[in-house]
Amino acid sequence: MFRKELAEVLKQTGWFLAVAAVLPILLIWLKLMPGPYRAVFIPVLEAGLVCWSLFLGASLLGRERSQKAMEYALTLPHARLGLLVRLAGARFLVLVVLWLSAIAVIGIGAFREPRLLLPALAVGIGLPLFFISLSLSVFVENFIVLCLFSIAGFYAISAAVFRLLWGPGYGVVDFYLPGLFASPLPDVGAFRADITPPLVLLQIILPVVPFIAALLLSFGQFDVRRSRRFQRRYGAAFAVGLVLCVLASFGGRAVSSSLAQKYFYLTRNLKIVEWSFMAKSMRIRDPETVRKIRIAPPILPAWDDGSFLFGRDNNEGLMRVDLSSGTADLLYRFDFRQPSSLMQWTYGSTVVFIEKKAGLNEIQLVTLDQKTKKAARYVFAHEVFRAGDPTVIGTDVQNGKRFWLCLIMERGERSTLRLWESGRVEEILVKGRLRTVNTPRFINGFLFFMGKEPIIVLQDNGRSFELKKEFPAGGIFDAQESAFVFRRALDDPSPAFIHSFIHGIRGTKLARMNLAMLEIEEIDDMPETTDWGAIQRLGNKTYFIGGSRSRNTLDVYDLNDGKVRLIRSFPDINLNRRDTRFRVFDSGIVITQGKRVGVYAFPDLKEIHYE
Amino acid sequence: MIRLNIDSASPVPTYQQVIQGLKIEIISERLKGGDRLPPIRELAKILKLNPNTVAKAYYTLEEEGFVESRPGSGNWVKSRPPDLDSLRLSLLEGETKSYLEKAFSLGASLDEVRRSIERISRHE
Amino acid sequence: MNNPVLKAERLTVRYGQRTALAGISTEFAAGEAVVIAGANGAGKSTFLRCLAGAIVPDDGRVASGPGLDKSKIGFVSDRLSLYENWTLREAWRFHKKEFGIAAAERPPIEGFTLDEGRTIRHLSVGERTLFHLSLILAQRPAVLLIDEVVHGLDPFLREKFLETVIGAMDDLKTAVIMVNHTLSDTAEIPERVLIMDGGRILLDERRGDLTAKVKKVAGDGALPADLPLLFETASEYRRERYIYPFREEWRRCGGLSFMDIGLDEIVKAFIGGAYVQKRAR
Repeated sequence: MFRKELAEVLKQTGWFLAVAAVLPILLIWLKLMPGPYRAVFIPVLEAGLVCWSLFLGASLLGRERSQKAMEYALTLPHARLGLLVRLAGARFLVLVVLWLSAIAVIGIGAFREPRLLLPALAVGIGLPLFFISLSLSVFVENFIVLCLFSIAGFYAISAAVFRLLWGPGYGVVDFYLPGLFASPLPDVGAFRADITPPLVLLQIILPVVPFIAALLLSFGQFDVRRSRRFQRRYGAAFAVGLVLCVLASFGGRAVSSSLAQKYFYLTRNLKIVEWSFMAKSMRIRDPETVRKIRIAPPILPAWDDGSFLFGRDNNEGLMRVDLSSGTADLLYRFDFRQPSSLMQWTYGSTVVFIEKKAGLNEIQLVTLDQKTKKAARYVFAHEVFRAGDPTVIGTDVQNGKRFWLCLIMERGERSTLRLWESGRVEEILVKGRLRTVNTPRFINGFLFFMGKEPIIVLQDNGRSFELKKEFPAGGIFDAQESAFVFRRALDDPSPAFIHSFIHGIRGTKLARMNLAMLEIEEIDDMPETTDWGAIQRLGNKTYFIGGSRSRNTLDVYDLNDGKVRLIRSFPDINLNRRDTRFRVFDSGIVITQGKRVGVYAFPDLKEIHYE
Repeated sequence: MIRLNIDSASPVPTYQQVIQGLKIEIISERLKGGDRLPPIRELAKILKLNPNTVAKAYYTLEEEGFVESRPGSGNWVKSRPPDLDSLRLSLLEGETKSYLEKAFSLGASLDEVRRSIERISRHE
Repeated sequence: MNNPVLKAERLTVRYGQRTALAGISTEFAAGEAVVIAGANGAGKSTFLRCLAGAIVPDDGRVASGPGLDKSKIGFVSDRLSLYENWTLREAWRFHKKEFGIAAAERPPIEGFTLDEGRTIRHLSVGERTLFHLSLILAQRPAVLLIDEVVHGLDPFLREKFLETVIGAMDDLKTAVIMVNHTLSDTAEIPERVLIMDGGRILLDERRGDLTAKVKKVAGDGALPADLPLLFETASEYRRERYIYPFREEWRRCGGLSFMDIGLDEIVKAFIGGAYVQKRAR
């Protein structure tokens, strides 16, 4: 019976493929979609495969019903379950082969476009729909009703599982990086390699469980009439399956929450904000008080000013949280669902950031007053915005008019523009070129272009940026300070904040560029004991943070007095382990090793204890 | 060819009717000694009977000595069957009995019956 | 009964609110020929379907004799269910494979051949019935369940059908359970009669006993009150009275005479009696 069923299903699938092959031609000819053929064929195939999955499941007993062979099939010498396995198995086999072939052909072979969409569709939608319609088909005879019920059932239960499994806090995730990138990179929503795939698996499998349970446990009672007993069995098994599904969702959430790594954010005044993946709230701990403060719902911390913590919430808004009470309020709702970056600059009580819609040549620069929550929006247009990622790197006032310097990063190149408050866009050319390989930084009114190519320094003369100094090629100075210094107050009244030096490495020596004279001098030897590391400017101090892979240490050096001086060396830090990470903040370093967390405050990196 | 009628309404068991019918065939020499009886299956098909019924009839006939069963080749009428005459007589008496019952239920007298028999047989 | 080939234990089947089978229990011996008669809607077909496995009873079960699996039960249903789009050849190949039939050809039906290339959908009812029968018989079943298919056949095919069944009975010693409410066709084949009504078995007797125990009263003379009257109809020109169970000594009762009646009329009397009882309730 299996073979016969297989033959029939293959025949039908042949028809489906023929239609899928011809339909794009029709769509192109009727000008409903633009060519070429393959650009239309792929989406047609994707949509068609999802529909076909639904159809294959729904047609489980289709032949028996349409050819009046139900009674015959039920009196064949097979147990009911054996019959089910043969009928369903043939369909499942064809489905799997079809999906795999499509993925192979479109993903690798003929069209050479790796499409993750197809495997995702197959596993996330195609297979579940197949099993759901398979199960409902013993119950519902009308094909259209069956399809609608299947889609509705799939959607409803998947949505419920999603809510239970991922909860409201799912947006707060961390990007796992080995300790090399120790600079305070902002959190970016991304996969957690250890937790997310099992959760995704549960999300796909759980909604199907009640349907499969109902089918398997009740099919033994299936017969030619609409039997009450069969219906009751199906309903009961479905209910049980649903309960299991809900419990497993809770369970999955609980397990992943407990397994989930904790994340920390250290404020300027050494308060530690702590949360974990998918948590419903965050905790603030203070070294001085025992009182714990909760923030709910959680936000993605971006920066703080000692009294307030700023960050993004799940609904694409900029939130401000009072660190002493935990109350949050909304500062600003992003106009575009995906603002260009999470990087914000502050000056005074103003925050500036850029919002951008993909593909447009326009950006919206927003200045937001943290106290009054008033926002001003400025729209600028330039071709480079279309394909690049713009971010603000500096601001100043020139003749009473404010400007912002905007860096646009494209694949390998950077472009720099000056955006005036009046709306004017000024291109900043480096040796006649807008696009450079080096990355610009705005310090003390100078624009430094540092990177692979020789260093170029431009000075603002009020009307434009002109070349001030050029350091010849030859890798004489490898500027090591973090490429983006963000969340940095530019007009902090403290004079020590005005940068005097930029530190870098020249060969094996620590070097620095004097910002008054624009001269480079070597200062000291870089530590030999480290084989990875970076120079970090934190506040008005500069440090070198690095370590040794062979000795498993994390070493922090003070570079401030013109000398390389070891502050502290942390032993037993094996950064190859997934559970060991560290993060550097302005006020200190947080090191996590498994369950153990240590907070060490600058300048001496003494451990801070919390109640 | 064998002429047998089965009366499904009759209280006489079917196998008895088959036996009776076959005996009549033998007496009337439509089935002669040495003739082969139709196979059980065939007679059952012709008469639309359960083969068991035919089998039982053949078995009884064999017991009563009218028929002998040769394994592999079926059932054969015995060449020297038992007393056919007395059988003929008993069958005749059975027919007479039912004839007289019917005749008397019409209200005829024995004399009228006798005369009607003679009249009719003269014409035959 | 020792080693029944099929046994029904408290079979109960409901269609929504209506009870089609109300806890039927009975047994069938190997090689037995049974006819199940009864009013329309008595549950006869439902019963047969339970025995065949097409219906799973709501209560009770069907037990089969030792060594008897589903492949040894042949079911010719009145729906003549088969995959209609197939040709006879395909259907035969499929059936052969599913039931593990060793023979290369189906047992032939004398005087009746079909073109193997024809589609089942295009067969006439009679042709389909006989084709179905030939498929079933190829299984060499130990039990043959035949629903009310005979009355739908023309006289020629009817004879072919019955003769084929008889041949199978002789050949395979198969038990035959037939559902029929017009018994004249099959009257002599079954040894045992089951009469069903309202999902219950009203009567389960040997055919010979039944013809002996049910008599029709001839004439319209008065009946003694103690005579068990099964059923009576009366109109201006007709009066029919049936006695069950009849005792031979009553024949000599003064003034009354009793007629022997065939199985059809017997079943009619029972069904009629059951109707009367239902109305009385």
